[in-house]
Amino acid sequence: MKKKYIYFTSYMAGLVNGMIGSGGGIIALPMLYKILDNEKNAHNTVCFFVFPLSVISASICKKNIEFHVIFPICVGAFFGGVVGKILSNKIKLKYLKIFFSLIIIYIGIRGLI
Amino acid sequence: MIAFLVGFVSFLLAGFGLGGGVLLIPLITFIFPLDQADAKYIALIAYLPAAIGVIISCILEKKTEFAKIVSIIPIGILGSVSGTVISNNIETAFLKKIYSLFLICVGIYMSLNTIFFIKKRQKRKF
Repeated sequence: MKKKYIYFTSYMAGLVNGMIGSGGGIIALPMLYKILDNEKNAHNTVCFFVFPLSVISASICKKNIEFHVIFPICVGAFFGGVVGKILSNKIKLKYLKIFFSLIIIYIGIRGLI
Repeated sequence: MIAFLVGFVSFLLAGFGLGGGVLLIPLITFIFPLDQADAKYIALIAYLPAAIGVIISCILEKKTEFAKIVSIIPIGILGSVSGTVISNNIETAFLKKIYSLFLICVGIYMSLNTIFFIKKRQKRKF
């Protein structure tokens, strides 16, 4: 039963990552909390898990974007990720997380209407 | 410059557990004249440098359990391929609706998760 749950969750994480472009990590994270020995490694291990999924998805995806648009975003993403990781080790912003969750819900509702 | 800031802000929040491209896609569709499918591709590509940074630091600090996920990565790849093939063949408007629904679910999940986590910590203090 546990193996079926793990395989199903991995598949769903890949499916969501392929359809939406992100979010595989969000789905895989609760599963990783259960299967890893040390829960603190979960956030790091998720990157290992989602990385090949994103690579393959990006290679299959339809592409009509020019390099000069993607490159600055990728550079910003790299520095944002590094700074975000450093800050998250030092600052606990739980209320900020709730605030941004509400923003995401609002954006989602706006998209549906 | 704007593109740099868009990437920076989105992945800054990702460091706090908000998910890599979750905020990136709405920001891109709002600021640039790109549609959902293009924004999705950008999010996938933009995740890679951020993930590489995390992976390198984890290998150096030895804070990851790679062995445990090796067996499930192929299944994830299978899901990823199916998801990409599906998204390549459906209309952009429908993809946007699926994404909006996903955002709502993620927002609710994250807010509930954080609220319950806060309550758990407060209970432990007493």
